Amino acid sequence: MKRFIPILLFLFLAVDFYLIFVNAPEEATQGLVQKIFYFHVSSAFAMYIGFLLAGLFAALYLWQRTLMWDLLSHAGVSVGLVFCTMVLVSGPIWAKPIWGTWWTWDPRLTTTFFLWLIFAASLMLRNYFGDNPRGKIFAAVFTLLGVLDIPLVFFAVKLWRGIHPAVLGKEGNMPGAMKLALIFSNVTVLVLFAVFYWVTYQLLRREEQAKHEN
Amino acid sequence: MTFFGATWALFKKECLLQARQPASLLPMFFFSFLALLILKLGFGEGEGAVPWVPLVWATTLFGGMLRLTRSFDAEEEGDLLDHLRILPGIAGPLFLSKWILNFLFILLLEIATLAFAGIFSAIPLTELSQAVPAFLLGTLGLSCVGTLMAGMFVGEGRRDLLLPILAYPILVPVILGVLHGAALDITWLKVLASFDVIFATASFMVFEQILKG
Repeated sequence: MKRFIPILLFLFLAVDFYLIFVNAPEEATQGLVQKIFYFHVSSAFAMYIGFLLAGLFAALYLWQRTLMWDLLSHAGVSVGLVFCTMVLVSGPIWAKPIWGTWWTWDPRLTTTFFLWLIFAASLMLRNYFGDNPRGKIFAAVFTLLGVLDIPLVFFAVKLWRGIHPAVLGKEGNMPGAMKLALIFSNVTVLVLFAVFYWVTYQLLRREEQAKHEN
Repeated sequence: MTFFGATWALFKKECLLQARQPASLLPMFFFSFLALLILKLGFGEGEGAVPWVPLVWATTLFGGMLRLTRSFDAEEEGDLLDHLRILPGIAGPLFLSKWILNFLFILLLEIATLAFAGIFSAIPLTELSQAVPAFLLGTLGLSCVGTLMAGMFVGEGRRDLLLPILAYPILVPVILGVLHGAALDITWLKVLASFDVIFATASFMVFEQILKG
């Protein structure tokens, strides 16, 4: 089963790249750089799913104090942070040629950046407490607080009317080939996310086992 | 003893302890005055150089953190916290009493900072009265999150460094909320109020987990 995962990932990515770079047309005003959007939006979904799962497993850990929930929460923060980094890197790469600047203090960009800081701080908190079991409880509490902050990202554009393009909710504007590329990109990145999540969880589980054996 | 009875008893104890050492507040106020002075110098002189709201709020955030890192100092002595932990239902009253005390101290700090800021440049009364709701809601949020996180670092050596690193990113909605809500912007005041309600509820629910470690 494990040997098929790289093949499966390769297939998904191959089809995804075809749909993005060959099948989907170039956007009339933005040109080739617009295609970053397929990775950027997909990474944002994966980021939110990672952080939400981290929060869910953190709550389960606080309730049941089962190690598995803590490891799953830790994995969620780690993988979510990777995709958050992808969002913050791909966004400015798109923004520079389109908006003429690498960064603006646009509300959604700003709040995504602060989500990155929150969950990076969560990992810092775990690192500080090391093997101390209190660290797991505090990390779970902090992760929950971080997840409570996530709705602000969704409400950011609506409340603050920043210059971030509001793509979702305007499906009528997007040609079919672009919609297909976007949907398949989301699926591909979610498959990638699932694989990363599982691998990270297994690594953390084996680390814990090794600590107990020593 | 009822919830509010226990809260009042703990709050009274805190006030009595603080009344015995009033000089312990001086460093916080002095630090805030210096922080305000540095920000004022850094951003230029003259009345129109920097609006007063960001100056006062930034100074409150930095000075308030000094107070928040010391929230559980009294309980560290004589392992009082260990004795409190075994009492059933103590978590809620303990958190609430600490939160109220921290809120009052930070509010006092804000008033002092406003007075210091008023020395450097006049603050119009209309602007000041408009900013009151935002500052009150912001201070509630700051003291709530800070008190909760201070509970994680009781007895830890690096809390002065770690508490701000953890608290400030979480407090971003509050930081922005006060800056924008000070002009009596209802939307921003709703953001602040929502933050306060959500995080107060969460804090009461999880503080027992932090207390029992």
